[in-house]
Amino acid sequence: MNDGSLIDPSAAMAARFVGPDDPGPDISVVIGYRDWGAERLRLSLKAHRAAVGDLSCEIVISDYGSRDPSVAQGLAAEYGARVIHTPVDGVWNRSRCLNIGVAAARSDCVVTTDTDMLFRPPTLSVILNAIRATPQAVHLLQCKNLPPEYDERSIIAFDWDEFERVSFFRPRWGMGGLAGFSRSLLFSKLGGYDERMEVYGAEDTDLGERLQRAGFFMNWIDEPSARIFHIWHEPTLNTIRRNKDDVAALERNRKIYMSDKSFVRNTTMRSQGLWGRPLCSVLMTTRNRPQFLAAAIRSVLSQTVQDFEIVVIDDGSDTDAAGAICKEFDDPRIRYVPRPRAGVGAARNYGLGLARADWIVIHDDDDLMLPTRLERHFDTLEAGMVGTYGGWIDFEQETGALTFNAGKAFSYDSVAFGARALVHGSMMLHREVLARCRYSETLPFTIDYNMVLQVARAGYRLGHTGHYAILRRVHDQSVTAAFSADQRHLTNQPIAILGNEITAAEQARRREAAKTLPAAVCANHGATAYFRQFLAEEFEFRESFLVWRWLPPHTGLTPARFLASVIAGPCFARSFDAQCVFPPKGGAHARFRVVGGRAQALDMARALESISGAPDEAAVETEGRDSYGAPIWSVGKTNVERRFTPAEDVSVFLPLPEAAIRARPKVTFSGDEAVLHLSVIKAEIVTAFLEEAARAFTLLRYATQDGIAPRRHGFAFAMPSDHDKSAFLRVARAHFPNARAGNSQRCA
Amino acid sequence: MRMKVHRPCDAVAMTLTAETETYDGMPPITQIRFDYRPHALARGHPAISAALLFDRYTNGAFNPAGHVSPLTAEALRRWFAPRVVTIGGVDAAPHAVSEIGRRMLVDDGTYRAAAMLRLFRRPGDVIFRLAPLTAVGTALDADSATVRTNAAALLGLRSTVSGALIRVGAAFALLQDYGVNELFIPETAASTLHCRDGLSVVGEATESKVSKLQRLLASVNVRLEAPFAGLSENAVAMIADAGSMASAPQPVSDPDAFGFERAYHARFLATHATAADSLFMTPESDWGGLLSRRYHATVRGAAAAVGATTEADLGARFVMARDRAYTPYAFARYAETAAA
Repeated sequence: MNDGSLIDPSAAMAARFVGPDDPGPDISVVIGYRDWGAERLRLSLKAHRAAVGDLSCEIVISDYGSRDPSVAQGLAAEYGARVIHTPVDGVWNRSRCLNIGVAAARSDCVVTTDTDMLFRPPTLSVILNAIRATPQAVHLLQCKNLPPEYDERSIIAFDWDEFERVSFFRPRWGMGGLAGFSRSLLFSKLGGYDERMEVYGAEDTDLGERLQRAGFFMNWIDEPSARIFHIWHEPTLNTIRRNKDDVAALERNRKIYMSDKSFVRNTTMRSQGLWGRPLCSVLMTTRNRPQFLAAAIRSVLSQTVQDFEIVVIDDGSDTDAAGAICKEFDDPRIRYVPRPRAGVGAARNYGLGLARADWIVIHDDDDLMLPTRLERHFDTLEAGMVGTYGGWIDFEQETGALTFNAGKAFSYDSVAFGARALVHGSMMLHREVLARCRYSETLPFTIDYNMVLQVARAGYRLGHTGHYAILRRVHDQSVTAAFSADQRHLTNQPIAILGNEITAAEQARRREAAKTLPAAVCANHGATAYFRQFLAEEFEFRESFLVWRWLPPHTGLTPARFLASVIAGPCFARSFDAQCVFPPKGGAHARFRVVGGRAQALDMARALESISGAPDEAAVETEGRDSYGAPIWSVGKTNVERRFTPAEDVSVFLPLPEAAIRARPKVTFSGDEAVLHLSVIKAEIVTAFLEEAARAFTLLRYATQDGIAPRRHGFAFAMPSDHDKSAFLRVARAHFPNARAGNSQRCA
Repeated sequence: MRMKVHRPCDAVAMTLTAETETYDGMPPITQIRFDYRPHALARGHPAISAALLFDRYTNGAFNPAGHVSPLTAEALRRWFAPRVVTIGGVDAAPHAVSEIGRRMLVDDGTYRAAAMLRLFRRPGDVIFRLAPLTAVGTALDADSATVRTNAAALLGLRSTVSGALIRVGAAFALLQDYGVNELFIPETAASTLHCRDGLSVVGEATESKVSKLQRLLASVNVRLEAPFAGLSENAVAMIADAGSMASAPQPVSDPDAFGFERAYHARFLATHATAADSLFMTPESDWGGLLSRRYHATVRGAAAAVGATTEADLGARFVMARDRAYTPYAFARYAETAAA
């Protein structure tokens, strides 16, 4: 169309151009802007007004950090647009700029574009029709580049036929010059453009990739009447290449695009999202267990992802203690909903109906989350997945013992026939999956297991986050404990029903095969230490510190050799942490944190005596409490003489959970190297061990009679022959880059 | 999207596997399993079944299992439009197409389906249902088929997928065996093939999706009837509840029964209701227009029966009823009992 006129839209056309006070427009056009120059923006606004046609259209200028916001504001006032100005003292971030604009748009049908695009009529109508017809797609239009004669100074009239004649499609066929989509049905579900990508570059192609992973797709509009033209200007890439920070940003963007396979982004960017509803809903049900609820909620509030709501369904508690606890947090994200008792299945289904987010994080009221749990859920959400889950740490409420469970890869066989594949409270699922595979409201037990089984049976795919997600309390008030005998029997009920679709012989074969399913690899990152802040009281009388003082010259042992001997000796079979402490002022003592209490401390003391040869009986006395409040016991009556002056305190923690160790460890000394040999049953236990050891090695020094000298330390692990050593080696190298495999795997 | 069909000889099952290609979206499940092994599959039926089941995710190219006629290929292209989707597996050689057969009524457990069964069922018709996702096994007889398949997992993960497409797509597995060449679906104007999500209403394309579906099925000589397609929910509700309450057929034990009403009602309450709000929405409101007038009246009647005027008051009793697959009729009876 060639109207040949100067740009002066008619009043009628202007009337259809929606301003801030009008009711919802048909379409919103979001333009990212930052000090690009008034003329280019003016041209763009004029063209958009001309392209409106019969639509009611809103223009949103997202001004991200302009030094002089009045430019955009003046033009917006002149052309009836809205300006969202974000004051920024930093680099240009097209992703964030557009996300802010999209969030502010008043139509659900949104087009994002740049300041230097001219839209030919009736392009916007074409895009709107495409969005409405196929809302599960992002609609793209490749722009045509105008030649250098058509920059912002020389374009006076919109001669569309002339533009068509002189322009060529942009050679780099990427994501076009605009993206049109439904904000609620598509864009918000991905979290928008990835805001880690600064400057510009790759954020749009990254969005395209993520779309497909999430089940959407790209639609290239192929209508001759729909055209966008790019106003000529000096290529931005030339400007960027002159700035090394920008070049570095582009390289970072490229790495994110190539390596990050998740599809929901910006999860940790804000305390509350831009899209009108939370990123995820943490769904808890509770009944008569207020003593655990506060810690559970606190662990959620401590997440790196803050864009959530917590829905607490009280399934008929006898008191309103849970409500009082929720109210005490005074956080609008916590929704407490009491109802008469209807069972945990009904309560969860009801909570699902109330949840506002697409992603439902299942969390039991007596469990604790690690602070990165929610973040890991989304980081792992890849193509085709409807949810993710992590490993879990069982915490015996009675004894304080911790058992690390990494879980296994999710499949029907691992859930139905394997053991300890995953635990329900570590999962995040899309709400529609839970709507399809609802919790049974008729089964008395194994409601969680039944749901998980149905999810597996439906063919849904879940991903393991590769990290521990929760600490799960094991106590006498859990369903597991209360109905343990009946539940063991009824655990089979879902399988008994479902087993009618698989022959008995096939079940037996698959059950046998499930035994060899490998465990997932789970990083620990100090989970134990983190949970202490929630469990200080529970740990109080469950740990004892033995402070064992010895005289190195008397025993002939250096502290390190002593420690190694202790570890290798009869004490290894107990759960404990060993700490060699060399206070700056002299002396030495080894502290053994023994899980189990006073009786176990005495037992350990006797074992220590047999190693060190200290005289007489062991006397176990308290020496007060440590910073955690656990009592410190001292054993022995030997004196401490100062034989060396260490430069600093030294401590070594070596957790050795007994269940993982096949045989007595061995310590070998070679020159200045001490190596502790462990034969393990479960590699995931060793993974946790490696994490602790890595930290310990940063501190370890031990003294010789000649003074302080750093020594090399190593760990050698013998594993079952059918264990996946490559997976273990990968984990080991994350902590010890020089780790290698051989007859024994050295990790230092 | 490239499709494969597997009908093993040693299992009473059939699987339809989708391999995503360059331009497809990734579906939440890529393998549809039917606890039913068709004895015969007519040419074009697997293609149409797959096109409907994976409609939501297909883009770029569609390569069905088996062959399709040029007519079906053209119908598939129109079906996917305005997406540009090339159709593979076109076989121009002539093949016989069955033209005489039975009718199949697709029962989704709603009162709309109840109305359709009351008005249109006649001897010889086949009633088709999708078994709940949690069920085991398929139940068949000469006049009905309740098929267990995980196809229901594709329902609703994105709000624009219609249950009708999934049910019709799944029904295609049985059409040849049952000698069916006519399908009845109970969809109405409000529910027709696009669901609403949150506060956003997405309109239809220029050509009615029903017309496109009819053309697609007609290419394999299957006629599609949607007798309520032009009616409002209220009108259909009146049809459904006409006559004796006692004779109103109860819905099947299907979590989807009244899921349409329950889901949106729950969401409305989550986003709008406070303890001080009066009950629910009016039929004239944006939300209320999605639900039948009968449903509204039933809920109000139940509330009045128990003397409740707010959601907080009615709260537990209604929610407990809502969590189950009650028809409005059954809920009214429940409320009466509760009040008694």
